[in-house]
Amino acid sequence: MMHKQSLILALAVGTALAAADARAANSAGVDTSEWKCESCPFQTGYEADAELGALYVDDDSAKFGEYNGLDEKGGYADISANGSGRSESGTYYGYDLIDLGLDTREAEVVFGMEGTIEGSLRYDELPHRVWDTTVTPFSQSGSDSLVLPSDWVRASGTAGMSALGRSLAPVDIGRDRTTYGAGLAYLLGTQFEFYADYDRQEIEGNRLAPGAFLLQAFQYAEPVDATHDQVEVGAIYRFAQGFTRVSWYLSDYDNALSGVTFDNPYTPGAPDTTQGRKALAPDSKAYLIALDGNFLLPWWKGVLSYRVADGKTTQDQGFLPFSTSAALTGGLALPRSSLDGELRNRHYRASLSLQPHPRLRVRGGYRYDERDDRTAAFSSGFVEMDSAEVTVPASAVRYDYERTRFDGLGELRILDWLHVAVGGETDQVKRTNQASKETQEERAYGRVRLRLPGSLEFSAAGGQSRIDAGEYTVNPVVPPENPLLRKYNQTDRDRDFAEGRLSWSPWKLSLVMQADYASDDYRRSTYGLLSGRDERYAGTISWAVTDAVTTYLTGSYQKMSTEQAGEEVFPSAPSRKWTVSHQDEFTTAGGGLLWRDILGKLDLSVDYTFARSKGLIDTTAVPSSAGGPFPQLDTEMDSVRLRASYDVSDRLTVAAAWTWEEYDTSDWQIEGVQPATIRNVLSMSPDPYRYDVNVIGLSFSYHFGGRVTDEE
Amino acid sequence: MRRRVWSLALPVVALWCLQALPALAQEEADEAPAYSRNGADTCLRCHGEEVVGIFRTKHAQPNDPRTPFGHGQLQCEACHGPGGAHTKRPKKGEERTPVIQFGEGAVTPVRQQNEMCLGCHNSYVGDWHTSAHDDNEVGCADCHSSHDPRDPVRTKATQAEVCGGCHQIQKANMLQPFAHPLREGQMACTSCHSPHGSLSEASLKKDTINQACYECHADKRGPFLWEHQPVGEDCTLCHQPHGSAHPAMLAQRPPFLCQQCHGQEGHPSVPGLPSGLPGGTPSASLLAVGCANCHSQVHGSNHPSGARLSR
Repeated sequence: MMHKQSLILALAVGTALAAADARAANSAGVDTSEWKCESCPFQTGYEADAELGALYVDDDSAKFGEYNGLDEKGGYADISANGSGRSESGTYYGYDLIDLGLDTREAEVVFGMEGTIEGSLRYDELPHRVWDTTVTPFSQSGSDSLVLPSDWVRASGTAGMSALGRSLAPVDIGRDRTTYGAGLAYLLGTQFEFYADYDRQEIEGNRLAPGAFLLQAFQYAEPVDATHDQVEVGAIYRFAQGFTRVSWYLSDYDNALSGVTFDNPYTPGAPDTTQGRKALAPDSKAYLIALDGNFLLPWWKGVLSYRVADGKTTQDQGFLPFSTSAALTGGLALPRSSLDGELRNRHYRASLSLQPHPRLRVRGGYRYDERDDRTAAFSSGFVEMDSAEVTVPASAVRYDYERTRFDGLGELRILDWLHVAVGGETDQVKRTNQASKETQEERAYGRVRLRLPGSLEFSAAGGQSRIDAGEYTVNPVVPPENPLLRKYNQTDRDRDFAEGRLSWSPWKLSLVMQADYASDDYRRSTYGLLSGRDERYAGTISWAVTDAVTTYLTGSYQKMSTEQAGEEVFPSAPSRKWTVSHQDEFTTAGGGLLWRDILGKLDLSVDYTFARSKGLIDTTAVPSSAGGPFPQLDTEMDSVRLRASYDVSDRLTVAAAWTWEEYDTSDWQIEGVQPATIRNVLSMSPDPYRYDVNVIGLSFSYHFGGRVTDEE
Repeated sequence: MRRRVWSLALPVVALWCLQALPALAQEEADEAPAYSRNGADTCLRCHGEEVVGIFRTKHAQPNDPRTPFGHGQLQCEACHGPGGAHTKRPKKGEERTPVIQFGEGAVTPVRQQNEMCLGCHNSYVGDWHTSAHDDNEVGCADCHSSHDPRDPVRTKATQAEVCGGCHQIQKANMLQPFAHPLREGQMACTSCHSPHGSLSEASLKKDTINQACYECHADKRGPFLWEHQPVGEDCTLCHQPHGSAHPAMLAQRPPFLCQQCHGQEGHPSVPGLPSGLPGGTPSASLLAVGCANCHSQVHGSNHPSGARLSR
């Protein structure tokens, strides 16, 4: 009820504000009747560029081709083109076809009548190659029913699966996301706009997923076959003092597969436990209606922005049976056939920016977000991993939250080159069915900025925040949770933070540096996350040696460390405390050179990129001999890209490119883990990413029609 | 140590003074008093190749009355301000009266530059005055190349490079072992963020972090029969969307990440230790995907037997 009132109120306010419209055709009132623009080279007619090329990749690598689709050794043909046309009456069209020969192909067509109608059609493919070193004994991988070979030998552990070796077959892991889109906007004069936008994503392929029967697990290629349709329609009213927009959004997620069934590779712990089934992501729909806009106030250069949005997400996928085993479900009955789930989302926002004095600017904001889960209660016995009936009912917990934030900022321009600002924020989160019913964060910061002649700019900011979580009540669960453990998103935390930025452009140099720092102390946590510290630095210096030659050097360093602790507790043994310290370091470096117009014909560029990620995890435990450091997680990448393009004529350009990339990973989590290495996890045995790939390419591009300038 | 710092700082300060002194000495120019006589035809007598790209952009469409080159509009001076004084030949020894300039090295204050853009674009870009970019006095022309027919920041393949000019740490994170496909140009910063400002956290396009993620990862939104509390609240409690050294862009490896919230009696409380690696007693809770080897439905389960997120 409350949200309806809010919507009506906001609608009324927006309409009232919009009513104060006034707009001049030429805001300065200048007589431009003699401004013929006769020398203006407006585009008329048709022009286009087309590029035809070929690539050769000298090795297979899923990681190299992760998002570029060049994961297989061999040749690739490629075509790209773009073009546009305009008539003197104002109609226009354009198209952009990119990499049509590759798995990353995309296309966009735009069309319309200037100032009246704008339309677009879109198509985009995004590959995601994940593993090409994985193996599985399951056949029909990629379908929703995975079966083991008929001569499979079950055992209680992976070592006893005597048919494993001959049953393993390679299976690549990855999926493709294809997006189709269309948009249309109709402009009614200069004030009204009506628009509609539609996107459809189709995701197909597989992902590496685990399944389990009690304490025995295995990995398999889980099929992915889903679509996601999104529609937004809306209307915008623009007026001299701002705008108002009302919009409606629909998201429809449709999974073609409700579950995946798999054979049990282990000796069943109970009769009939030869198969299991997991639910896949359910179909769902989300709606959101929103009203937003802003209003330029007549005083103090004020701007009032607002947004009211009300939405819901529904999910009513039919439930799968408790188990594939009829023998285990005899005593159980589903309380209802589907979830009939409903989430309500509400978002209210407002922001006011004022400049009461030319040197003083203040801004205040309010945000409210609510997640209200109205799904009916569900309590039932169940079957534990298709292996054992659990008659003690489990109750599905629904999680709601309300989040309210106020923030403020005051900025004083003491001098034209010296600005100082102070700001603060309160952030309150109220949760249901959680250990901490409410957390309250108070945040304060200050900032100073220097803008000095010579394009030298420096800013530094720093502050503190404090989260108070109040009473922390451990939820009653079986087996019991350690009462000394605090979930890090629901506990008290002190944070110090600082950041700095420097930019300077002397002569033809340009220097940009950035540094971020944060230190967290979870002051009431005995177990769980105790502290964290982030340091991040980055900088780039570039130099325009001449109008034709530019070069740059870049680098960054990040260090993220945390401390956590826990306690191993078993009823039949003395407990033992343990600690873990993590330190992730990430370093990048690079440099490059671009040399254009060599002899008026040739452009050359070379870029080198280096990235190294190190992860150090050190443990202590009782007895002390059990602890110690893990092997270092290490990933290193070197990449060189060389490109040359030569203008054969005003219309024809030939380009050649070479990319070399080397990648080397050490990862103890998968290193040396063969299918039967872990007694109770039948692994797909992905190898750590390692590749050394060269790509060479040659392309010809031609310009059709239109006016050819040196710039092109 | 202190001496070394000074020995580094002094040359830098000296270098800056040398470079900045001419600018310090320069007096602020008067505002141009009047518009030019013939509009763009006057401008194009001097400004050629470096500006004519605009005639292939949306800004220069005679049939669109909203654009600077729409019929009756102010053409170049719609953005650069009255150019009457600028067109006059300066006296010997004097500099030409400037018009409103944009971008790096412009003498026009950033807020004045932006006011020119917002004069028309306020209702198109939305909530600029709420944005961190406005707070930090980022100029529209710091990101946009309005004379370029293919503005790099409006092109998916090149946008991240433009944003990374300032957001260097985020740009570096595109090279993390696990990251969204920004480096490959298959995704843009604006896939999630609204750089012109929004009333949401981190200038997100959507109302919440999770709603931004659900645009592509709708399979994670549920509602599920069995929910995992942090999933519905904030994806970034476990994931680092700008890139991570850990699979699935997790903040840390399982089981350690899981044990920052879970320490129940029994196997959840057992630490991951090096003795659980191959060569020791390979551990199911440590290797492969850790806890998720069994509790694979970490985003929630819709299976009636999924109470422990295993079905």
